[in-house]
Amino acid sequence: MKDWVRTPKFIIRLLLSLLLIIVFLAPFYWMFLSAFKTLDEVIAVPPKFWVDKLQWVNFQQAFTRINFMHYTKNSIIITAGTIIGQILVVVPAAYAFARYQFRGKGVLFGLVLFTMMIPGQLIFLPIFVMFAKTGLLNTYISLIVPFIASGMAIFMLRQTFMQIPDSILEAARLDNAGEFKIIRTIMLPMAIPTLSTLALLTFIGTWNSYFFPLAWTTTDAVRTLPLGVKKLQDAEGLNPHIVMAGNMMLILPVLIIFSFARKHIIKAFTYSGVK
Amino acid sequence: MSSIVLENVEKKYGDKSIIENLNLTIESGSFTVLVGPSGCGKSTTLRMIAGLEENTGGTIFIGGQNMNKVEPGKRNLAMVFQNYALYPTMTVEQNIEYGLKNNKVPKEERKRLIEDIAETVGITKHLHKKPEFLSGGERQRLALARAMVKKPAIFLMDEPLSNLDAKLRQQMRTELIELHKKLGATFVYVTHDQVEAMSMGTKIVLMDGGKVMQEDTPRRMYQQPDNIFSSKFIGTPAMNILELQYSQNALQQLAPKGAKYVGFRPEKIKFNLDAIEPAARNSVIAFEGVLTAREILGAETIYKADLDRSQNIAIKCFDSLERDLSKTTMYVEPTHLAFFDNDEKRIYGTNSTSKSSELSSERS
Repeated sequence: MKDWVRTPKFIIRLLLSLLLIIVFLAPFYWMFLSAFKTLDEVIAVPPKFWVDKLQWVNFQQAFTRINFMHYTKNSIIITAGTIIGQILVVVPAAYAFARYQFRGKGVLFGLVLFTMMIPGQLIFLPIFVMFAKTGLLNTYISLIVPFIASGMAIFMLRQTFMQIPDSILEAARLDNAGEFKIIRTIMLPMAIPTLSTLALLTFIGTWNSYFFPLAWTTTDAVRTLPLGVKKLQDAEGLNPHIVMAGNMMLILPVLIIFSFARKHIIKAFTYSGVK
Repeated sequence: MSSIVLENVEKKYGDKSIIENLNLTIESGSFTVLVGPSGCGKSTTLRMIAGLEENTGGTIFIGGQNMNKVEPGKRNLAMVFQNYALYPTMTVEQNIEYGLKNNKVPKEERKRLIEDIAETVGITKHLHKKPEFLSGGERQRLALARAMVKKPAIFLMDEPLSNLDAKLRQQMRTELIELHKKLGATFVYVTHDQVEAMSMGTKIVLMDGGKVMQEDTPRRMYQQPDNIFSSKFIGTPAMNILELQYSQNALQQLAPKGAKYVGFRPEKIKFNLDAIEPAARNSVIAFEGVLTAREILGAETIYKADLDRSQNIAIKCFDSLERDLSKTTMYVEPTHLAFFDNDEKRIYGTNSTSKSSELSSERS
């Protein structure tokens, strides 16, 4: 073992890091623990920090107490729809802002950036009224369309496209590649780190979204999993272990994806500066 | 067959004119180097030949055909970029293959061509790597391979060696010369480095401010500069240029009518009369001056000297004497003098070094 490992400075830093990890992980651990406890164990005083026997039955209960599959299906459709829609809108927009010169480009791009500054709570009501008048309330469209034109995504992707050196595109032109071929075979592959990061962020945002699905729906038809778990909480408020099992199932996809893609996300954000 | 002709070509960005009325003929099979200071229009000229920039006026012919409306990919040429411009998401193999694929070359033939070319430039063992894992020299070779595999009639190179270290650059320079001999294609090479131009080109096109200052073989470019710009740009140190009105009478008497400047190469100056052929000793021009600096470069030594009236010159000599930095006399033969007029243009035909006589000796 190297000498620096035993210096006081190192030990203090190690302890501080551990403390920080505990602060962040404790709520997750508590949720995890509660989801596997019996009701008696949950309300035991003093609290128990482990479980003797994993109560898988809690998950079964949570699953049947609300129509779990229905909400999950809605969440998947809305999340996938938002991601796909976003890519379809954002890629051409960002490409145009990055590579073409046209009249009003500056003003239009300013508008795109401006949308990032408007809080959603400010416009949810006008949008609600709009959907109500067009009869789109309680449809998937009402929960997908407002989110596919993301100013932040257009901005990030535009930066990525702008960083691609002109000479690479010129080399491709000399290799007899047309514009669409260049976009498909050169530009998009080079933008994949950014695109996948955007997709991940959209996934996490949409999957966890609570406010808009609540504000823009009046029936259960298209409500998503976070609302389902809220309903579970309302119904099973006296059974926190079952609510926690529902929560576990809600965040599990996000946790899994994040743990695999963590390095990738960080890379996409730092990539830009290198070279 | 693959000659390039530029006829009254001009390039404007908005109101700003970069190149005006450029006429240039690049012979088929030549290694033509476009050289000049930055901003002289050499890169723009190359990019117009490639079709990456549109010429706002005039016509570009390649192999006799008008290329004004022809896409870059259809001009039968390949380009090597300064930063190599490799496709970062593709492997070495895919980089080479891309152009072939777009030109609809069948798969088996692509494979064969790639193997051949990788062998030629020595990157066979890297075929499955991404460009980011290659060294500078290997990237350069890949850029060449990507250009060569299409078997173009014309190679355009935009300062391709400037990102390499000195030793590798030297090596690549030699390899490019050999490559040109082997392929027999037309090479058009852009550089700001006059040493590269001199050592590689079969023909040099010296440009400044969007105009061609001189178009010649490297040897003639050095020996017979057409104007003061050429005389100063080619050769290190540059040709010594003196204003006649501040020079000694002997020089003024030799000068032809209308001459304002006189120039001579640093290595033509001798420190003693013995170094000059006996027949020329009578007519030799002598300069009085004070040596102010000495640079020892190994085979040669370069001195700086102050003459009268704040004119100064450089002297290159090949002996191993270390002269004192003091007052001294230097000699130049009249045959080595070049006179320039008020517009800094060369006045030919005043002495034995007339343009026509030199040209005939060059051809023999």
